[in-house]
Amino acid sequence: MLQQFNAIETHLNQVILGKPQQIKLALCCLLAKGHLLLEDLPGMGKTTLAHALANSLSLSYRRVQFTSDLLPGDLLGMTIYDTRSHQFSFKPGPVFSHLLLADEINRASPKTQSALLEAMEEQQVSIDGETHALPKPFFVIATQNPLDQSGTSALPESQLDRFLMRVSLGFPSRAAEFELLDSDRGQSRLELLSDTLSIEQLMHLQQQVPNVTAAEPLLHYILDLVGHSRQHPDMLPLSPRAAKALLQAAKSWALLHQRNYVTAEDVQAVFPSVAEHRLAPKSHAADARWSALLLKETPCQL
Amino acid sequence: MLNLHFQRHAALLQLALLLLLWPALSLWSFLLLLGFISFAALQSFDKVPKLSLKTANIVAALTATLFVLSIRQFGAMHFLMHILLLSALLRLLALRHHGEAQQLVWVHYFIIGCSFLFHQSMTLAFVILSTVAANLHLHYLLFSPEPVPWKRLSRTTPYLLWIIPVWLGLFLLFPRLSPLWQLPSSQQAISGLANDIEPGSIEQLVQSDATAFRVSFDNGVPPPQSQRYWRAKVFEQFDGRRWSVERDFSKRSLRQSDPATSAVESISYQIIAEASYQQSLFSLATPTQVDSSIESLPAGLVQAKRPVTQRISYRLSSQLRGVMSTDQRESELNQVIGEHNPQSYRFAQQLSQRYPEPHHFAEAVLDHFRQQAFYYTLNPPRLGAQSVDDFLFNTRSGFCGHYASATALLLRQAGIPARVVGGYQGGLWYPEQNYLLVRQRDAHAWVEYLVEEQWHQLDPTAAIAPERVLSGLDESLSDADRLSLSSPWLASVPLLNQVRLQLLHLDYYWSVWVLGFNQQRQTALWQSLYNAWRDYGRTGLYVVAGLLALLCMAGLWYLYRLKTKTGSYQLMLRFIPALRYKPEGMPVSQALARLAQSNPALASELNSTNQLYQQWVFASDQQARTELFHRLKTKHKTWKRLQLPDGFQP
Repeated sequence: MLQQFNAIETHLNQVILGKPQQIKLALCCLLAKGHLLLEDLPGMGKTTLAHALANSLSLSYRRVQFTSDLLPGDLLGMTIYDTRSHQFSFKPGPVFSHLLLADEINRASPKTQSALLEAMEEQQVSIDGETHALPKPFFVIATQNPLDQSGTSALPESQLDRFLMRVSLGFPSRAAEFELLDSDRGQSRLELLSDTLSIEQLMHLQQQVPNVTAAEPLLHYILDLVGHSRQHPDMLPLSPRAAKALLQAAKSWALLHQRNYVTAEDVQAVFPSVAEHRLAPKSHAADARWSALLLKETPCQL
Repeated sequence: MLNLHFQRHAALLQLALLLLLWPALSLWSFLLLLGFISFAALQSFDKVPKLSLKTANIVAALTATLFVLSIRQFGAMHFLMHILLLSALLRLLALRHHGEAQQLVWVHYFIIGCSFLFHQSMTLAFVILSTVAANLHLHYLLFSPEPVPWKRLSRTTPYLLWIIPVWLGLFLLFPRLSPLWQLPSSQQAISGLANDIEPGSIEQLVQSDATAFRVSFDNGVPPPQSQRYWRAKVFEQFDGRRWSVERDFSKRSLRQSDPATSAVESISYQIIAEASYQQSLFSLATPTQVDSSIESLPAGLVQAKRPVTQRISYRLSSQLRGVMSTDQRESELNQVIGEHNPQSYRFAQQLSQRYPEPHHFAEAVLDHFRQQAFYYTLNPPRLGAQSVDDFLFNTRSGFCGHYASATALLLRQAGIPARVVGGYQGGLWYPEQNYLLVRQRDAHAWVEYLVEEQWHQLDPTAAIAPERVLSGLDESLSDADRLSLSSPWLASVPLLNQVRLQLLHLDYYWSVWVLGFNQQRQTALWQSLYNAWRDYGRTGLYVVAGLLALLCMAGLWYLYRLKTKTGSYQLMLRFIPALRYKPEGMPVSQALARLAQSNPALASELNSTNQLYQQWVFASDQQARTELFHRLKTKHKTWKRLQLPDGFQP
């Protein structure tokens, strides 16, 4: 199963050229049942990544373009009176899918944002007193534009915290971009993705993540990192939830590398994506300065 | 083909050997051999060609013939040294093959060993040791084209420390064999008192600051300065000017010490005498017990069995009383006055009429010196053939030799047997180092006269210059005289003088503990070891065994701790020191991967170690820990040589 997962990774690398690390992080995030925040300028391939992920994992996929006038109902769905049957019936919104691409999440009003974030956290939606469970697995890829633009409302810290990882795709290398221009078959390639993993298989893999061994000294290292952030005057302290998220991501990363134990290198590999947006919400994902500083300053005796 | 480094180095070493064997060489042979060495040096810079074997043989034959012709001048021993040096030097000039060079190196070792025949001082022992090191390097050059790099030298030198126990063991336990052959007496000028003294000879001797001998006393306290008369020779023949040792002196019968007087307290002491190239040695008053290594002589003197060519040490016990007369002939011999110095004869006759008793007469002579205008000086006027007349009635100034000579003659002319005794008086006592230093400067001459079978000591110098006897020569001289005494240039600077003194003391310990370690001491060491074994042996064995067991247990415990308990990080640091220099936040596994990149030869080794490490630390795999420990331990030398990658800061 893991082999298939790795094959998907290989295929994704053929669609998104020159970004193996980010693809791996995205898959890691998915495996760890976390949500992913992609921070990039428009046109960097965020949508392509989300779409490719959904396709290769046989997940249902919906995309919502967030605007300032988007209402929570547009996202979650609403109860409509059916004049024919004289009954109220629930029309599920785009959130009822396995993979939701929330494009430009910072353009929406805080109200809409928090509706989505609540759904992400609770894995269910409550409308008019009725609770509707979201499909499993439920995975949100939100994107946001890093430049402060008028009419946007940045996600508050508490809500950023809901995203397991924040990743920036970044500009491709010249060679990768040349390849992109030369072939110009990006869209068609997306359809070539055939190696799919069933939802059951994906969930089975997700269930394996908690079983990955994290040795005692490793937990102490994570605590060292978190503790260090709490003593640093220039950054926000990492919450216990952040520590949990870090461990979860590291386990998932280890699993991706076909190991049943987490190493310090795993922790360090996922740390910038997991911690940077929690340490400094105003920072940019492309410049993971604070997490790099923490990694450098925390002695690692493992 | 041998390299030029070897040639150059060998030439230099041979120069050192030549200088070390200098005492065996005469000037012309030294220059000749030096010529060969310069030729070898020129060869090493490719200025002159190698000698063919034929040429070398011809040169060797010619030179050897020269040496054989002058074998009488050299003596057999020194001749042998010449031949040894010649063979080594010429071998180098015609060196072609590896095997020959190897022979040469071994001959060098032998020559270095031979140099101990001529040098025993500590300084030269170090010089000889360094020539051994140089020869070792030469040995190395035989197999390597380049000189030893300093870096490696400093790393390997500590291994030499392992030799020290072996070396000490050999020194202490190797049997001291008595020499298989006798060293021939050499041509060296004798030092110290000669077999005859005439006016001026002692004055010359005291110019030297060299050490004559050193004494340590068994009870740790020397007798007072005024009793420290070290007898070396008795002069019994007088020709009007010169006193000399009687020709048949050593053939006289020895007299056993009188048992009635043995109640007098005796003192025991050890003397370390410097090489004097004479047989005579030094003793206080009447020696009663004499080391087996030396011989007793008549007149209470002692001598070595052979001329003293090396520093020797011997033990004595003495009773501080006058020597007993040996036979009738001795007293007759010491009454001979000869037909000279008539004026003093008349003076002696007059004086002996007033003081017929010998002790009174002796006292009267000293009173004469005290009351008349006699002077004590290091630079007395020259005396004629009738030296005593000249001194007593004309110049009236002299050094100890003059006074002793005149007193002895006056005593003889009054019918009392008397003789001049030569030796040393006083000496510098170093309480901290616990030894007495007697220098040539302390050379002295005094008188003994015979009354009733017993020789009485009489020192006229004590009458004219009591300071000489009580506090040494320097105190007793006038300022002008003192300036004329040559003093070692080092002594003029206080600090350097201090250094000189310390070196002197060090030299003393060297001779006591290294040179003085003879067969007797070795036997004593064995004996005391045996005694210790008999007395405490069993207990000692248990204690040692217990300690060893404890040590073993501690070692095993340490290993056990290291193997099972030590934290992963400490364990890795213990075996792979390069990890100390990793950036602080870098995980060990990543650091190992980096090390594998920078050490491609060890990459697979490091990577598999890394694998085991991660298995152990992150998967808590104890099996991996055991394997890792084993791997770390078996390759522990490999890990020390790792190249640091970029970013690792030592």
